[in-house]
Order: sequence, then C-alpha cells, then structure tokens
Amino acid sequence: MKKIFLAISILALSTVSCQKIIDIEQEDADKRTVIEAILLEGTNNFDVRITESSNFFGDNTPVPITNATVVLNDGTSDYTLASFADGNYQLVGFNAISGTEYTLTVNENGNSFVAKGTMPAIVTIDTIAYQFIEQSTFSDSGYITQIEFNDPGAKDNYYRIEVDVQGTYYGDISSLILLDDGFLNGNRIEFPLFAIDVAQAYDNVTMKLSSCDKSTFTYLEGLDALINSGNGAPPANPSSNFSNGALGNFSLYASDTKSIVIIP
Amino acid sequence: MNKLLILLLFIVPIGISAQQFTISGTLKDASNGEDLIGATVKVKEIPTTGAVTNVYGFFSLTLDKGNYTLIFTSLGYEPIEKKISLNDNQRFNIELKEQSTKLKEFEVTGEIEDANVSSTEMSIEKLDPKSIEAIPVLLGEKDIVKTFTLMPGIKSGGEGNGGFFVRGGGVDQNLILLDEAVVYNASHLLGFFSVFNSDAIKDVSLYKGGMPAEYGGRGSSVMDITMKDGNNKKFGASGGLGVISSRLTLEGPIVKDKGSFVISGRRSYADLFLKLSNDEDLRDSKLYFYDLNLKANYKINEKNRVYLSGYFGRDVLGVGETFGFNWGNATGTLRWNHLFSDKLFSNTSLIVSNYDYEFKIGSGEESFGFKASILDYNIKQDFSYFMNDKNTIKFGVNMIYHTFDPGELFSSISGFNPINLNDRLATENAVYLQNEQKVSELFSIQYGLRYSFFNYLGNNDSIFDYNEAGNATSSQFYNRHETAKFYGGFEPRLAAKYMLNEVSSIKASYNRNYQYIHLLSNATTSSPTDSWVPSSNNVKPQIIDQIALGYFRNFKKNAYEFSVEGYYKNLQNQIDYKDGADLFLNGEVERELTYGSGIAYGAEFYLKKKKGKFTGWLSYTYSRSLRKFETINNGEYYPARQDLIHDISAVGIYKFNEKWTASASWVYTTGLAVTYPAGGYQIEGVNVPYYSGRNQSRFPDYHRMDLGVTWYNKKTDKFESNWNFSIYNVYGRENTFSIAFIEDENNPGQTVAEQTALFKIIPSVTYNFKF
Repeated sequence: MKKIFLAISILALSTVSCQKIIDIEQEDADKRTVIEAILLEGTNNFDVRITESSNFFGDNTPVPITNATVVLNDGTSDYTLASFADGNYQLVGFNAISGTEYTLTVNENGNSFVAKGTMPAIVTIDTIAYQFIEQSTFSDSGYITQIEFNDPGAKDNYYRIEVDVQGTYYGDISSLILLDDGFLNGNRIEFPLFAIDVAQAYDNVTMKLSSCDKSTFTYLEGLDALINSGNGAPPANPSSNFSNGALGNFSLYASDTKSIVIIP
Repeated sequence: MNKLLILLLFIVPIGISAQQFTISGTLKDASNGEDLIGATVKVKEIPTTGAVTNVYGFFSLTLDKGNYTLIFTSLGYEPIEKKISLNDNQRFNIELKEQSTKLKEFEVTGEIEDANVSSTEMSIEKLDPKSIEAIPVLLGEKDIVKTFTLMPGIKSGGEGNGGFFVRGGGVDQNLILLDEAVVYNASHLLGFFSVFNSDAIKDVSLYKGGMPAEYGGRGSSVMDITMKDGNNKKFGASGGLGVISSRLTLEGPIVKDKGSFVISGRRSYADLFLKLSNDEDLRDSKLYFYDLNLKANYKINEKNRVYLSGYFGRDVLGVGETFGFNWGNATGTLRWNHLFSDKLFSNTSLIVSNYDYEFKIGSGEESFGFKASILDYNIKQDFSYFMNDKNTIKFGVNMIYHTFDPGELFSSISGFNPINLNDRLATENAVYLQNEQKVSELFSIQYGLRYSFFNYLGNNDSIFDYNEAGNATSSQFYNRHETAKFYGGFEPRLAAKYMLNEVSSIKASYNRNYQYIHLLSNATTSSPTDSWVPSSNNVKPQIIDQIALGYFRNFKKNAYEFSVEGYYKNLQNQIDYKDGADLFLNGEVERELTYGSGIAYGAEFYLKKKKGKFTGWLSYTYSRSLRKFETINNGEYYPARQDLIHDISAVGIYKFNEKWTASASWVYTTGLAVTYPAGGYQIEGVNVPYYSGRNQSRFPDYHRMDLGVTWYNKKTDKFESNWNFSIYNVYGRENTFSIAFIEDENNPGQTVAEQTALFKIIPSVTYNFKF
C-alpha cells in the first residue's frame, strides 16, 4: 500500500523532481561471515556455502572462505563436509529424516558458529486448481492458480512456495511466497497465487511446497522485508539461527512437488 | 486539588493594604473590532505594574484607590492615555487605531516592545500572519509553520517531510491547537504546505519549553493558533490568486459591534493543470487540497460572549477511477466566555477533533480500500483570577475522550474478507493551577502544577500483555469503558525572569510533560497514514523533562534583539519499532514495539533587527538528539532521525518605499540521520544489504536560498492589493528527498545510490487583494 501511495506522489511530483547518482561515504564495515546452509529432507547432497560480507556499493563479489571446518551432527554422529576452493562445502548423499534435530557447527579462524534445526515433516500438495479470469485492473486474462493442501493440526506449520509456469520461475529470495497456518491450523488450505502472473492454456505448472521450521521462516520473512520494504520501517538484518553473529541461516526444508497442465 | 489550593494560598503573599478597586475590560482593533491579544495596560504612575490582554482581548488590573494615568497600547497601534480616579471598579472597552505606516517604520512606541527581555516567558516564538507577508515561500503560499522553521530550535525535515521538530523532539511531540482543538496532521500535500491558511489566522504562539500549566498532552512543544474573529464593523473581503492555490475570506458583523463572522477558504488547483497533459493517466488524476475556516462570535452582554469556530480540510489524490487517496482534519470549538466578576474570567469550551484517511483501489465490483481515524471529544474549563497587580492565577480542568479506529479493510471483491480492527478507547484528563507572580521590579516567576491522568479503556475485547520478544504472555477481557490501565502524574512547570538592567535579563525554566498518545509511522518519514495509538498496558506514557536557561538583551531602543538559550531534555518511555516490524493492518501492533529513552540538548543563538528599512534575523542552533534502546544499535546511544546538528537561518527584508519590499532567506541544516547498508552479501545469488547500526549515516546537508519581491498598489480606503513574486531555491540546490539503492547501469550486478530531489528552482507569482 505504502508503495502505491509513494508511487502516486512521485508521479504527481515527477514534473519537477530530479534524480542523480550520488556518492555515499561508506565506513569500512566489519566483515561478517555469511553461512548459507540448506538441508533437504530425504537423501540429497547437503551443500553449505561460506563467504565473507563485502561492499554494498561498487565491487561486491562474494569472497569465499575456504579454510573452515563444517560438521553436521544428527544427535548420534558427526559428519564432516568436504571443502571446495569456491567456498562450497558438501556432504554427498546424506539422508535427513523428519523429526530429527540437526546441529551444524562451522569453525573458521578460531570462531565457532553453531545452528540447530529440526527437520519438519513433508506436507503433500493435494491439488493445483486453476480458474479463468477476465482482464481487470489487477491482472491480464488467464488462469489464476491455487495450491491446495491439508494442514496438519498438531503444530504450527510454516511454508515456502515456489512455482514454475512454463519455464518462468516464481518464489526466489527476491520474491518469496511465504505462508503460515496461524489462522488456519488443521484446516484445508486453498491459497490462490495472486502474487504471480496468470498462466495460459496448456502451460505446464509445477509447484513446490516446502515445509520449514520456525527459525527458517522468520529468517525468510526478514529477508523479504529487507529486499522488498522500499521506504519502510528502519531496515534491519534478518534473524539468523547461527550463534556468534554470522549472517545467513541453517535452513531445513521438507518439500513436495506437483505438476499439472492447464486444460481449458 | 484541595491541597493544591491550600498550598497555593500559602505561597501567594496576600497583601492586606489600602482599599483596592479593579479596572477591567477589553482591547480591540478600531478598524475591524478584532480582539487584541497580548496588548498592555500600563500605569504611568507605577511603571512596573500593568496588565496584558488574554486571548479574548480581556484584561483585569487591581490597584489601590487613587488617581492614575492608564496607557493602553499594543505593538503597531497608537497608544491611548486615560486619566482616571479609581474609587470604584471600572470597565473600559478600548479600541486602538493602527499606526500609519510612516510611524510604524521609524517611531519607537510602548514598553511592550521589549517583551523579549521583560516577559517571564522564555523559549517562545510568536508570529502574526501580517508580519510574515514579505518572507519568500514555496509557490507563494505564505505559511506560518514554514516560517517557524526559520526560528532557532524549530526545524523542518526538508521538502516532502510533513511536520516539524522542536528541540530534538519528534513530529508527534508537538501539540498543535487551532482555537483549542487539536489538529492531528498539520500537513498538506506530503508536507509542502501546512493546513493553516494564514488569511484566517490572527495570532500564533509556539512554546519550545517552559510551557504554562494550562497546556499539556505532548512532550516537546505547543503551537497555539488563534483564528480571526471577523470584522464586526463592516463587511469585507480579501483573498489571493496564486500559482498553486487561491484564497477568499469574507467577514462582517452579525450585529454591529456585538457579533461577527469570518469564512475563509483555500483550494489548490494543481490538478487543473494535469487536465492539460497529454498523458491520459495524468489527465484523469486528482491532486488538490482545500481548507475551510469558519468562525462566529456574539457578545450577549458585558459578562457573556460565545464563539463557534470550525476547520475542515482535506487532501485528495487520485488516478482515474482506479486509485483514490484522501485525508484530512475536521475540528469544531464552541466557547463561552463568562465574567463572574471583574477579577474572575471564565472560559468553557466544547471541542471536537477528527482526523481520518482512506484509500481505495479499483472501482465498482472490483474495489477494496482501507480507512482509519482518530476522534476526540473534549471539555475544557479554564479560569483566570486577576488577584492583584502582582498575581494572576489560572486554573482549570480538561477531559478528552479518544476513539482510535486503527483501521478497516473494506472490499467489494468476493472472497476477499474485510478486516475491521476494534476501536480503542481512552480518556485523558487534567487539572492545573498556576500563578504568575511579580515578586519585585526585577524578579518575576510563573509557577504551576498540572496533574494529568489517563484511562485506557476496554471495548468488549481481550487486551494482551506482550513480553520483550513480542509474544502474548496473558490476556484479560474488558467490557466497554472498563478501565484496563491507568496512568497519572504531576507535571511541574516553572519559569523565572530576573532583569539585569533595563535592557537585559536572564531567564530559566523547567517543565515536565506527559504524553499519553503516540504516533506510529509506517515509514521513516512522516506520512498521512501514520497512526496514533494510546498508552496501554504495554505502552507507557512518554515523560519529558526540560530545563532551559537564557540570556536576553536588546540594543538601540529595542531595534535589535539578541538572545541565547541553552536547554537539556530527558526523554523517558520513547517508542520505536523492533527491527523489521510490520505495521500495516496489524491488530497487534504493540508486539512490534520496543521502548527506550533519549536525551536532547542544544544552544540557540538569535539576533533580530526589528526596526528600520531593513529588518530580519539570523539564527544559529547547535543541537543533538540521541536515543537509546536496548534492542537497537547494541543498546548504545544513536542519533534520532531529527538529530540536525547545525542549523542556520538568515532572513532579510528590505522596504525600499511604500511600493516595493524585497526579501531573502537562506537556510542550512545538517542532513537527516538515516540508516544505510554497511556492506552486502549474497543469498541464493541475490544481493542482500547488511546493516550494522541505526541512523549511523547522513543525508547530504540541506541548504537553500529563496528570494521575494512584493509590489504594493496604491492603497485607498476601499481597496488595497499587492503582487508577490518569489523564487524558491534560487541556486537550484538538489536537496535530498530520498535515496534508493539501484543497480548500476554501467556495471551490472553492482549497486549505486540514487538521490531524488523534489524541487530545483521554483518561481511563482501571487496576487493579493482586500476590500
């Protein structure tokens, strides 16, 4: 809403306003360690990427950190990840099990960063529904798609949704689609995807419903607010589940994927 | 309250002396019957005594039996002398004539001219709209709020920022009163203009500190605006045609010399120009504001007078049928002046204030929108007891009933559920007592005590307690109007003056202010969608203490005024958002809040030339305003957004002759404190900024020069007019409105900062008339 308001005021003022690129005095910020760790349910490669924060302006190529020790613990054993020259660390063919708590420890230059998370259970997509709508103020004519699934009632659930419509991908970090069951716990959820463009007849539509734990969801919400807030409340770093001030997150996803073709 | 009265009776020395009588009455402008505010009654035989008219033009002065010469005078008016034999109570309704312009320029009249030095009040700025006529302004709209920001200690956040900052306080810490009614949003068009049409205004006082006990409710300042009463002698019209808006004022007697009315309207018409555009979207756009001020008064008899005043204003923005956004204030004040005796003046006011906004997207079957409001009903009873020539006692009570509608989402689209957040209710009350006492010829003191209290009321709903993490820890159900939380506190007020000699004085003041309602802003700048929230079980009232010390000196028969004031403020229970808070349609906004403290301090230097062909002033302020929140900036002090360290204003007006006046002003202010990224990193290949501390960076410094020329047509008895030409931002400084971080066109993947400035050079012309 805020954006629309700003957009119109800027439109109104566009006749007189002027833009220019300015230099901003930038103090050399302390470098922070950035850890991006994504553990997927089932047997997958577990990938961790470790970099150092860089400049925001100018050259911002991430600087890889290659000398860290990365260890995953599932409550019984330690698994050390193999290190690569580009700052990537990998554990091949690891089987992550729902309900298990995992601890990830990163030791780097004498600093220790620790994060914990519990692998959620998969919530399966029941149906991908779609409905034709005429052209309107808000969208083109085409098919609005809707993801439908049954939310388990036992506890709070948090979801990230990604969609591919005929090769166009929606739901990356800069346009996150997030959903929690705060108001709908234990109900059937039918969530229309107003946030993405409408699909056309015979398009392939693939949806991925990733359940995640609360800390991952809070982190994603923080990222979303930061990237999309515009002129909003004072900006802040997203919360991380890593100790010791590391940026990034140890994210655990249990995903289900379903595809359909839009038949008129 | 009883104890207070008893206490006061002990403090006030009651001189038992010769038989005393009271002189009372009113002072008015002879040409139009307007009450004169702050006019004086002097006694020639006792130079240190006298009375000053109140906001209704009333004065009262009690003296020993005897023969006296009274001098009735007001700045810019010819004084009247009257010899009297005081052996009974006497009443004078005096009309003063305006000085002819020649006299006005060169003559020095009346001791009132040294009010700067001699009055007990400090940290106060006064303006009457006539005096700002020549100062150049944006698009020719003379504006009291904009002019105040040229004074020391009062700052604007730059173009596009509504509101103003007083001594490091926030925009919501200013109590803005229009004929006693609170105006919640004083900005039009995103802050380019204030809602106060200067044609409708008689007098404005702005207290930066040391406010008398009769005022309360906000932490930093009081801007008290009095509307014109209207001409009670004859019908008249005045107005102006400008580039952006036009104004028209009609006034006249209801019953000659007994009652009058004034109607003043203003409307902008930028949208009329949009109709000429080739772009269809622009052509169908709406962009205007209007103000309507109405006032009527009637003098029933010598003892009773009633006033009714109202203000209605609105901003409307829209693009075709698809988008509409409007906001505005409405206020109404019904007042009854009553004289219980020549010494006891009473005013009773019934006041309504409303502020609301609404926006709507789409039309017909496919529309939704949002609206929110705040509504106050207010009863006020004030007494002034003019005890003797040494003591003037004021006391009163005030009750406000607040209704906060935090928001309603309405929709005509099926499947789109409307959301209506429950109204929040509260009462805000106060009693006060104060005395202004002349202790000796050199020393005078104003002391008062205000006790305010606040009830946060239930509305048939559950009220939650939140912990530091923002989680609800408990809840309790309250019936409508059942007290859910009570706050109260004493607010001492003190101001003292000591004359060092005839031309200089030192003054000191202390004030404590409670603020029970708070403005939450959706953005880092203030906007019409900011919402007011009450103190509650989670939100404590803000408490602000200020001490100030000043030295005042006039030169060359009051032709020059000089002052320096230093102040220190302590701010408790300040409110800010937790990192990454979401405020829109949030029924539990309190879980997003965090609480801290603050300090503000500064020194203000002011040199003013009041007389001669050249008039104007120079002001410099050094100030800091810092905040401290446990959860922000690692619990260390950080600059408030309005921490504008250096602030310079220079205003010069040169009157060549009866026809031509030229003026220039220049301002310089340190840039606003803002939060920029300290670095960056990538997540899933997307650039993400990294922040280290709150408000650690600055916008570029703000500076600007404006020029103006006014040409007065030959004045006749029937008609007068002038043309005003002005240039805003003469040297085209691109002052920062906002900074956005965008991808560098030349180096894809890299980020650069893009500044948006709203105005370069803006010339304008305005035609003003009066008949």
